[in-house]
Amino acid sequence: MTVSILGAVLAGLICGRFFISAELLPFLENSAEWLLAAMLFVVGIDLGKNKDLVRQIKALPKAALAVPFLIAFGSIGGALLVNILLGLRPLEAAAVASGFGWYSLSGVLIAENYDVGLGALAFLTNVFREIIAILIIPHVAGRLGHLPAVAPGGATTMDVTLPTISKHTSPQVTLVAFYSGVTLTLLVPVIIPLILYWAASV
Amino acid sequence: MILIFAALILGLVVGRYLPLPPRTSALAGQISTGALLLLLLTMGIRIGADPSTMANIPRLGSRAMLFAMGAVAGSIFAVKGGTDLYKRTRRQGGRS
Repeated sequence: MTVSILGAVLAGLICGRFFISAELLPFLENSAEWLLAAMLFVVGIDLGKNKDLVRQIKALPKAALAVPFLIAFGSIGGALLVNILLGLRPLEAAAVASGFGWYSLSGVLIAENYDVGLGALAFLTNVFREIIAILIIPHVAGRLGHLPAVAPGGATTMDVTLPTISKHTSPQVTLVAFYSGVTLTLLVPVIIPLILYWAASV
Repeated sequence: MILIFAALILGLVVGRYLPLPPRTSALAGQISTGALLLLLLTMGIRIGADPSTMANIPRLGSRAMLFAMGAVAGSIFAVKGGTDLYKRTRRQGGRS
């Protein structure tokens, strides 16, 4: 899947650079919005039909429920600190970090609703986040503890990075990771448009 | 923006309350993957057609790496801090 995703972006870059005329761009933007809506409709169905998940999450210790919110808070805070060096508008930095590793959706959401350059930055940032997460989860689990090992993966702990977490932590932390990934996945399409709306209005 | 929120909420309601046949899941997965790849292709086209973004790609890469490292470090720090604080509060609560 990662190869298809990177392949689609690369094919697009080549088409955009060499083959597509400027008159086609407004049509592409309009179709992209409907494609995005179709994709989120399907994501919604997938999350909504998993009734067992709600029961499993209710059985988790109360403190574990805070984990995805700590991850969201820490991700945005960390990006804002780095942004002191980089000098973007703080809300733009917050939007980039709010992809929480879900590079495809965050890149597209920002490109469609705000700015294509910032979308490209969000895409790359969140690709790098996923790669860094896969590399450091075992070390974080060994040195800082099992729960902090859930943090680097962000939204990807419900799928891509879950096997790594499962291998290096306990079954209960794996369940926390899954719940955290689902929660952050749900947060991405809500929080990014909200931040962008705020950024566009100030 | 409203269209995006409406689609997500409509999907959640449909998934939660409508009795969908089991093969819906596989079909939904295929639709979602197809839409995602088309969207990424579109995003790529728009980046490729924008000369200033294309010229900025090397700079974007180093910025993206710094943002990713900041977000990862910040999230680890927040979860570590949160769990340590929770353990300390529980220990103190147990003593009193």
